[in-house]
Amino acid sequence: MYSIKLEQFEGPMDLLLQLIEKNELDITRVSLARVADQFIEYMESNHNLPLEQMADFLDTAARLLLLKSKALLPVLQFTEEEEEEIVDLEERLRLYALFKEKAMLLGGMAEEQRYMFSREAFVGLDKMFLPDPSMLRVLSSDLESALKKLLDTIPDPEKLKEKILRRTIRLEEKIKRLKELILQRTKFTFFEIIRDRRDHGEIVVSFLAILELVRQKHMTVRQEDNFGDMYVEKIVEGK
Amino acid sequence: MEIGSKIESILLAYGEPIALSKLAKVLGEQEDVIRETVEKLDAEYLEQRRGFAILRKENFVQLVSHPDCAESIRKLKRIEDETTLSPATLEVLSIIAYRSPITRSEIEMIRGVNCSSILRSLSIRGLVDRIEESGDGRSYTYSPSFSLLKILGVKTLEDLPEYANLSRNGKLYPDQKESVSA
Repeated sequence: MYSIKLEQFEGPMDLLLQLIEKNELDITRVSLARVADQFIEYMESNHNLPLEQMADFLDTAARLLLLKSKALLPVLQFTEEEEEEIVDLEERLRLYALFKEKAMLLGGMAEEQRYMFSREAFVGLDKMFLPDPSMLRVLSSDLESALKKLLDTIPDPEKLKEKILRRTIRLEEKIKRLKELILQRTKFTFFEIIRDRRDHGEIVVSFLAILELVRQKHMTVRQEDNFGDMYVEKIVEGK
Repeated sequence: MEIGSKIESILLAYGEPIALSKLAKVLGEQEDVIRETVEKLDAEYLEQRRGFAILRKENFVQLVSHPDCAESIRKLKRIEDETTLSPATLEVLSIIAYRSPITRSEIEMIRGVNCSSILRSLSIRGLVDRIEESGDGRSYTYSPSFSLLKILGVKTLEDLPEYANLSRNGKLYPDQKESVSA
C-alpha cells in the first residue's frame, strides 16, 4: 500500500487531483484507475471527512473502482451510461485542474495590488439635485418670513376634553345613611332604597352596607323569593 | 464638444458603473457609437499613458484610476493591505470569472464540494453579483462584479489569462483535443 502525504484537500475532486499530481500522472482514465486504491485508502484512514461530503466521495470512489475493474479485466465492456460517467469524471477533473491553476493566477494578480480606484461621488444621490452654493441668494428677511410661516404651521396646544366627574358613593357613607334610616323608620325594603340610585355601583354599595349592618347586628334581612325584594328591619335591643 | 469628451466628463462625474444605454439616452446617440467611443477613449488613455482606465463589463462602463497608479492612491488614502483570499475562495472566484453567468450547482459540479458559504461571503464582500433568474427566488446565477475587476487590475474579463478558451459555453471542458480515449 502507498502512503502519501497530502496537503489539506477540499472535497473528492481536490483529493483526486492531488493524488494524480503526487504520482506525477496526467489526467487520463488509466491514471485514474491507478490511484483508485489510494483514493479509497485515504477515505478509510481519514475519519475527519465531513459527513455531508461522504456521498460525493463515495460517488467518485465508485467511478474509480469501475475504471480499475476495466483495467484489470480488459474484456469488460462499459455500458453507454458508464462510459458517460467516466468521461464526465475525466472532464470535471481536467476542468477543476484548470480552474485551480487559474485561481492561483488570480490570487497572484490580486496580490500585486494593482487596484483600480473609482469615484463614489453620486452614490445614493442620483435622484437629488443640489444647487451650487454660489447660486444661492438668501436675504435675512427671507429667513424671517420663513420662520414666521413655520411658526404658523405649529398647531395650538390641544385643550383637554372636560369630563364630568360623578360623585361616587362610598361604603362608609352608605352604612351611615342606612343606620340613620333604620333608626327613623325601623324598617324599609331594598328596592325602596335603590329606587333613586345613580348607577349600578350604588346598588352594590347599598347591598354591601346592609350586609355589614346585619353583621353588626343593627338589622335583619328577609327575602321571600329569589331576586325578590328584601325586607330590612331594625333589631330591637334586648329582644 | 466632442462626444468622447462628453462621455469622459459624465464618467468622471458619475463615478459608478453606468449603462451604455443610459449614456446613449443622455447624449442622444446610438449605443454602438457610445461603445466604440468608450473603447477609443480607453485606447487613448493607454497610448498616452494617462492615469485613467475604463472598466467594461456587459453593458456597463466605469471610469477608474489606472492600475499602475494604485500605489500612489493607496498612500494617499492610507489603505492597508487587504486580507488575502483563501485558495478555496480563489477557486470559486476563478470559475465565476471565466464561466459567468453560472449557477451554484454548476460551480459545485466542477469543485465537487458545497460552495454556498464561500458564495455568500463573496456576495457580501461585493466581489460577485448574484442575479435572480427565475423570479421565484430559487435560482440564481453568479457573475464577477466591477469590484473584482478593480481588485485584479483588469479592465474587462477578456483580459484574464486564456479567457477566450476557458469561457466557451457548452461542454464542461471546451478543448476536447487533449482527451485521451481508453
